[in-house]
Amino acid sequence: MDKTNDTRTIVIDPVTRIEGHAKITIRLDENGRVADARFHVNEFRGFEKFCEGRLVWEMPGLTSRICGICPASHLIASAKAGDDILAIQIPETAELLRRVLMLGQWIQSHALSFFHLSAPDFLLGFDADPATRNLFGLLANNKEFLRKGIRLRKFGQEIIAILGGRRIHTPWAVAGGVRDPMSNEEHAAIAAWLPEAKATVLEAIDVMKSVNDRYRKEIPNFGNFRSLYVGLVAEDGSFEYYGGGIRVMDGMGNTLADRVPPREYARLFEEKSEEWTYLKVPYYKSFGPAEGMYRVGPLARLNICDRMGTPLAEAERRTFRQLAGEQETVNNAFFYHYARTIEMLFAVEEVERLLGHPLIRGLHVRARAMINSMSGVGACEAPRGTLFHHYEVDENGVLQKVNLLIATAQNNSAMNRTVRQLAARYLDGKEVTEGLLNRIEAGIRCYDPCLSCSTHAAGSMALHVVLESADGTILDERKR
Amino acid sequence: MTPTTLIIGIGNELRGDDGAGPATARCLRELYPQADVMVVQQLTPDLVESVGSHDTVIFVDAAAGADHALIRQVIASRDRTAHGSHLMTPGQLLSLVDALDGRAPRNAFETAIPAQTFEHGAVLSSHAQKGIVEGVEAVCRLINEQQTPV
Repeated sequence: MDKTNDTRTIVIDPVTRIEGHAKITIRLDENGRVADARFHVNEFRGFEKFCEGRLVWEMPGLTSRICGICPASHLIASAKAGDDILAIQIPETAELLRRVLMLGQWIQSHALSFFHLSAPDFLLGFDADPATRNLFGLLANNKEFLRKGIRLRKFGQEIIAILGGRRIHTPWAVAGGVRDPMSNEEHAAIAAWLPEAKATVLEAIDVMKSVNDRYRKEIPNFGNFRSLYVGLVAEDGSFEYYGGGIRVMDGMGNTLADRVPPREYARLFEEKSEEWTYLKVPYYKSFGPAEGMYRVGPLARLNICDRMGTPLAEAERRTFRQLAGEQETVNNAFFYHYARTIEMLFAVEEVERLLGHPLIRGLHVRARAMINSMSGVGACEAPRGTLFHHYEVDENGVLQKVNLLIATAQNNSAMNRTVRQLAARYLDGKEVTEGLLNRIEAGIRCYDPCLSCSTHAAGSMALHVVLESADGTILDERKR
Repeated sequence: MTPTTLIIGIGNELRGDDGAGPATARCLRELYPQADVMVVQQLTPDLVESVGSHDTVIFVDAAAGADHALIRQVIASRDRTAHGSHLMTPGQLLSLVDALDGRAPRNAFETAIPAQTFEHGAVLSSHAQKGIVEGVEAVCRLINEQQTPV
């Protein structure tokens, strides 16, 4: 801990085991109680600006470079925005293949979040030595579980590599479809992984349930508040990740907007900027910035859907929903982790279902057209939440304007509030203790934020926490 | 079972000389078609199976500030503080392989390719190009001297 002087501020810098780099400031009021907490993102890359002037057909390949963890999500959202601009109906086989790619993305990203980033907290404890609370510590604790997690992530990456030609930054999806169909060999290679993947995910769910039980006294402090929830649902209200419309639900289970076409997203959401962060702060427009805080991602998706589309995941969703009681949504951010494991189960089951579809090995995978609309929106569910790509073009398809609404930004307000709640519970005096630092990190990791995506920025994640007094002086500062 | 060699070229080919590792690995693929060759942007835990299933592993990576290509033997690292999700050193990866499977490669080498600039773009500096030639020659010598089967 760095004592800068005898002033009154806490800094956590860097936040570890998240995708990017962040700083957290906790401000105390005149009575020494937590008044506010801010999750600062200090990176900027400017994809929205430098993509202006490029051709719409280039955008999937360009925007898949935003992130090394979820490039396939940007690829698909971008290709869908292109579909919208071409006003084209893509071949059914192309949609099936895009779905498989997205599920590969989910599996690898969720496995990374669960096994690599969060399991050290769960299995070694929030108060374990940070030097060993990592992959190697997990290795000593449960080698076989870790091995299975590494292989599960590899399965997701294999799906992407098999379809897209490489594990990251594939340009395989295009406006109008995808570049290549799936061969019999590729189909068999993916199918061969399924039994092992399903067994691993089921084991992960069991572990997650025991973690929920083990930490039941601490969990109520991890981002436990009512918020709005946003995500895509299918036409029948069931769980959706590729198509469908936007559903907005409040923290008591009331539906505020339903099956809104993604191209009308700007009618629902407003994005505001803050001086202290490059991460935008979106909110539900009808409720304003304060009341319009919403969450996206696994917790939101499981809250808003009426049912999952696969049997094992649906059975697990019902168990998940019991955490909320009869009417309300599950409002505790810690249960993002549980929701994430259920989504991994869904993904494995859904890949199995899609591989059995009679058209999955069809050869017609791309439709072609010229510019038929001057703007287009592509939306899909990225691992961390709903992702929107919105392009405006001229008659030649040259981008005039680009807006990317990213999951981590949409969780921005909720992450701030989660940190505030944890600080209020664990801040003891005027110092950033190990216990507080560990729990703030764990609280942020519930959302699995990806700062490369959210600011479209590069960098390695680290945590920097600052504790400030009411007059802005620094009480304490800590970096990890 | 026939002994096997894995060559891993590490680097981002859109960041100037950082692409020197992948470029060197691709040259070696032409020279040794029996070897397994991978190109990755960084070392990550999911490579444990590939690394653990080969007798010899040769990592090839750009080295800022180096004047000449250099090969050194690499052993499993004792540093276990890494976060381990995005970025690992060859030594940490070997350590993970060893701990998970107890069957780390018999021989592992790290080849440093001289690099100067890491700006955006797929262009290699003349310094890196010269280093790639040196690196390829050095790996060829290693394979011959060690009688490393490929």
